[in-house]
Order: sequence, then structure tokens, then C-alpha cells
Amino acid sequence: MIEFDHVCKTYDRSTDRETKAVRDISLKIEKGEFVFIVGNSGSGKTTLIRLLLKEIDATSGNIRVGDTDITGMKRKMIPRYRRRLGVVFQDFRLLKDKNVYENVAFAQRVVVTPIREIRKRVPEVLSMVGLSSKYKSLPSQLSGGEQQRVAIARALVNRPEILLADEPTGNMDPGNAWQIMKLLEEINRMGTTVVVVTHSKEIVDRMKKRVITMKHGVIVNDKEESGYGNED
Amino acid sequence: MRISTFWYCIKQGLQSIRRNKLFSLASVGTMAACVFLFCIFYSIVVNVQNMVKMVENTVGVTVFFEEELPEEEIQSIGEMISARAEVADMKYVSAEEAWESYKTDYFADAPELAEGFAKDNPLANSASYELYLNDIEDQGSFVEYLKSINGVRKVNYSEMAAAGLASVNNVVGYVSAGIILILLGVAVFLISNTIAITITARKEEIKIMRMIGATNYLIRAPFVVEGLIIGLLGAGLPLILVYYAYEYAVRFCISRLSILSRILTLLPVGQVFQVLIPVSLGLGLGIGLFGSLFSVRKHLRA
Repeated sequence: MIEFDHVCKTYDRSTDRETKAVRDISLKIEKGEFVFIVGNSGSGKTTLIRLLLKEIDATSGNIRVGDTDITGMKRKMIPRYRRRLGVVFQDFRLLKDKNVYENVAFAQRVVVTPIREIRKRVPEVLSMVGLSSKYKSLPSQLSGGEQQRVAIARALVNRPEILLADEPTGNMDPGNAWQIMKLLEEINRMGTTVVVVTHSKEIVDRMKKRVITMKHGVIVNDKEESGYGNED
Repeated sequence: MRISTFWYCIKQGLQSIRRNKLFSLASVGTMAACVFLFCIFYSIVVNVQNMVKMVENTVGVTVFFEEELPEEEIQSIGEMISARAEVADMKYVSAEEAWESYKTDYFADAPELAEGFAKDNPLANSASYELYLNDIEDQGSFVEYLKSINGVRKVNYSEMAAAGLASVNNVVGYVSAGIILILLGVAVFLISNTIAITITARKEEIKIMRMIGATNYLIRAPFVVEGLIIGLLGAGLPLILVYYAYEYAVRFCISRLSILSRILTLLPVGQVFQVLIPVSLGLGLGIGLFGSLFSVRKHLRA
């Protein structure tokens, strides 16, 4: 499903002080997998997500998602490619002046989904994330956990193949964080490949999923059903 | 494009204008001032042009010849003059015709008075050519040319009409073109700035749209719509204003200045606005499009 082949990303190539964010990364994530990417700040986790989102281009190496080689993808093709991904961030990135329903519907509207389909699909995903009763609330009226559920609903509404979550529980108390993780697990069980970047040792240890550990831009550990920082 | 996408872009464009009232208003205001001046100057220029045309058609140059100049000579001079490029129309008026015309003009009420001259044409030797020029601006040099011809005794013409109207029209044309150009520049600048402010205000939304996979087209279209709406409002408002003002001016000229109706006749409102409406709306939409595209290209790179 996702394949990194000797990928390097170097920032600030124009200046003398080059920063190598990721170096010679090679990894494979199969369809339907649930993977944690862990590591300290600056270890290159977020760069990995940004490369996948095609927000930045790899300096060298190849990245494939499904049948698509996204390394040399034309700018024009990027929007269509991104529709195959759902993304969730630590800061939710909801539109403050739109209510829950509108925030989720917005994701369908901007990819030109027919209104009839929007009216059918949005209640479906809101029910999946347990927010059916709050569809009229504004983000400011919701707790952090609820806001993240809206963000997840928005990421799911266009039926992505892969869900990328960058520190999805970063701003939450352990109770809410655990619920979000269970929701992501549920989504994974329904067939979506889930990649979660996180700092949370507790969660990673409890979930018992594949864990890829990064340090200074390289993968130092990649183990199935592992815990945070377990290096053999 | 789907109808719903079309409406989405229109709605977003209107929403941006509402959120960004002050700058939108400033842009519409500048655009309106620009189109307003354009309408006013156009109305003046087109009317002055019309008056010049009327003068060209009614004010001619009359060439009289030396006494006793043989008829053949007069004819050959006539052929020479009519071959000139400046001449639009030329008419020979014989002494008899001149007297007939004079009689009907001045002795219409008392034809018996004119009868006294029946056998002795007081306008003998007044055979003349009446000339109408293509462009009244050429009158000065053309009159000099006529005076230089051997056998020409006198050239009658109206200096005021020629020099005055033509130069007024030129000055109005140049000044208005200059002012309109400056205002157009200001309008483009203001519209592109307004759009830039909207883009900044919606940065977060644009980021989310990109992340979700919205096409560049859909991200940019609402801003272009915003520019077009500003342009359209900026052109439409002054058009309405000038329409009623012009109509009033036409009515005023007819009712109060009828005494000047031979010189001061304004073109009908329909004829002027037949050109003004499409040109002004095109100007508004064009400036709106140009301003917003400029801003979108600068601030919303793919």
C-alpha cells in the first residue's frame, strides 16, 4: 500500500546548513495495517507524513502509494491523489465559523460531491464517531476529544484508503486519548489503513500494534505488536 | 462544472465581500469612480463629436471669384478643388441661384420688393462654390490653400466653430483618457489588495481545502468571483446614476435651452448607452478579473 524506497529529505538546500530530516528511509506498510510511527521531536516523523501528503517532495528516493509513484507526480494530479488520504492533526484544524455538520460536509463539498450524497454520507460518519446529537454545535462548544472526532469524521467522509493521524491525541487527557485510539482502531478494522504519528508511550504500549521508531531521520526499529521504544 | 459548484463559488465570493466590507466598499467605490468618469467623459466626447459633425455638415466654406472671371476658369478651379482629399462635398452656386436663395430667405414676406431687382441681379459676380470638409480640423490650412488660388476673390468660413470645437474635443479626450488610466491602475491595485486580504483571512480554510484534495480551480474560483462581483457592482452603480443624470440633461436641454437647439443637441440616451453599457460592464468585469487573478496568482501558488 505505502512504500518508501531509500527516501531522503533535506531542507534548506540553498544554505550551507543543510538539515537532513529523513535519511535513506525504506519501509513498507501493507493495505489494512495499523502502524505507529514514534520518536522524539526532530526525528523525522512529521516529515514522513508531509512526504506522504505530497506537501513536500523527497530529495531522493521513491514513494509509492498503491499503484501510484508519487515522487514525480505532476502538481495537477496532487488534489486527486490527496482524496485517497484522510488526515487528522493534533490541532484539529476545524473551521471555527462552521458547525459540526458543515465542517464534515465541507470536505465533500470541496471535492464536488453531489448534495444528495453529502446529505446521506455526513450523518453516517457522524454516527460512526458518536457525534450524531451534536451536529449543530460549533467547534468552540465541543471538548478536545469531540473536536478530534469531528476531524476524524471529516477525514473519513470521502472514504479514504489511508488515514494519516499526526499526533491525534496530543492535546487530550488520557481518557479522551484512549477513546480516539479505539475509534481509529475501529476504522482500521473496517478496512482503512491507519498510520498514527505519536509521542504517547502509554497509548502505543497498550495498543500492541506495529511500531516504527525513528531517530535523527532514520528508522531505528520496526516491530509488530510492539511498545514505545522497544528495541529488541 | 456542476451547478452546485457554481453556486458554491458565487456564495463564497459573496460571503467574502460581506466579511471584508470595508475593503470591498473601497474597491467598489474606486471602480465606480473610474467607470463614472469614463461614462461622463464618453458622453461629453461623443456629444462634442456629434456637434462637430453637425457643424461640419452645416458650416461650410464658400469660395467667391474675381469679377469677370470666365465661366471656364471657374469650372477648372472647381475641378481642382473638388479633387482635394479634404473635400467631402462641393456645390456650385451660380449668381442666379444665389439671388433666388437670397430672395426666398429675405423677401419671402414681400416678394414685390425683390421684383424691383428682376432685371438687374444684385448678386451678379457672386457665383461661388460651397464646400463641406471631411474633417473640420483641416479648415485652417485648406482656407489658406483656397486663398492662394489665382482668381479667388474671397473665402468665407467660420473660424470659431472649426478651431474651438475640434480642440475642445481633443483636450477632453486626452484628459479623460489620462484620468481613466490612472483610476484603472488604482482600481486594479485596490481589488487585488482586497482579494489578498480575503485570502489571508481564509488561509486556514484554504489549507484544509488543499489537504482534503480540492482542486486549485475550486480554491481559486471564489476569489475570482469576488473580484468579478466587485467589478460588476463598481460598473453597474455609476451606469445607473449616469443614465438618469444624462436623461435629465437631455430633457433640460430640450425644455430650457431650446433656443440653442441648433448647436446644442444632445444625442438620445439610448444611443449613448448602447455603447456605454457593454463597455462599462466589460471594463468592470475585466478589471475585477485582472485584479483578482493577479492576487490569486501571487498569493495562492499551487
